[in-house]
Amino acid sequence: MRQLTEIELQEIRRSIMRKEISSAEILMEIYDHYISHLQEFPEENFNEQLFELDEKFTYGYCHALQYKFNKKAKEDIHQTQWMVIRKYFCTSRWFYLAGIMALAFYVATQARTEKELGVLLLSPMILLLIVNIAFGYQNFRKLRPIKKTFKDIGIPINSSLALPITERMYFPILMAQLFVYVPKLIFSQIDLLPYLPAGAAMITILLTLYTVSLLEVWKIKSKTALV
Amino acid sequence: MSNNNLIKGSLQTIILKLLEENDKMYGYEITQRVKELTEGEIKITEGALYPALHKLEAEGMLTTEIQQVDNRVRKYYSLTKDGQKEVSAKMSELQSFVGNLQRILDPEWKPGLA
Repeated sequence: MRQLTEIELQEIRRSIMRKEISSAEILMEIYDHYISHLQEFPEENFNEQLFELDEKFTYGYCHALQYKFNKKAKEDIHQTQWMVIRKYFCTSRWFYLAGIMALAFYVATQARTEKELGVLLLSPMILLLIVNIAFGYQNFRKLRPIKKTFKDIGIPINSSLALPITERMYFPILMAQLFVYVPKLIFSQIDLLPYLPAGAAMITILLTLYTVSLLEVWKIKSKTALV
Repeated sequence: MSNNNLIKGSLQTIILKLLEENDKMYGYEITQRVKELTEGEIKITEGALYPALHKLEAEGMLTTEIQQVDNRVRKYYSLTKDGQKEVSAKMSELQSFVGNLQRILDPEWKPGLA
């Protein structure tokens, strides 16, 4: 095994960049495979071996691999979050769930104006925003070495696992807007005021559970993936 | 003769078995270990290896670990608890298949006879 020269490494990077892969996980795996393989051969065989690798890791193969990996990552995040949410209803965690529910309902019934209920609804959103900022920073930190290696790739490099988590972070914002505005539009003739505290408490509980579950998914995945 | 079609069906078992014996391995290392063990008779192609690894990872049989190695990031695979259970199931399945195949190829053959 030998150390590859900077020129050889550049050649490898150029070769991989031509495949236009945007998944950081796939990029790092292929890059490591190329280097590990080429280190086994003397300098004079470098071009021939690089060509052989390119024949194996074709553009089509890499994109099929990336497509399947992205699809599985999406399913994986969905399944993990669902597993985490189900755990909240286990006997050992019922205590926490009941605590959150009691607190949300208590605060909602104490609120005197719509504005105060709005603040209650905003609390899980603020938590989500904090999670989003922390997640973005961690993701940036973990992807930095890969982005630095492939800085001339010309397409954005993202973690396949980070994308579905980010999408899920924006989902509650859309849902919250739906919960707030749709009743106002459809039931404009009905006085919703008596139902507002209970509704706000319910939405707050659901959003809090959703945000905490997403935080747990991130915690689980951060141990093994680029998130 | 290309034995790729023969290997395809047992690739997952090969990966699981190697990981059972080696704690954690990366993609290229798996191809090299198979080559070494079979003295070059069996070569796992990259085209089959990575989809199989990603599939096993998605099924929860494998877990991954990211490590910084010589200015690059390396992805190591290792068995999960489910994966460890699956190794013995897959191994006995494969051994039973090999035994049956042997009986078809040589009806005189008896298990345990060399």
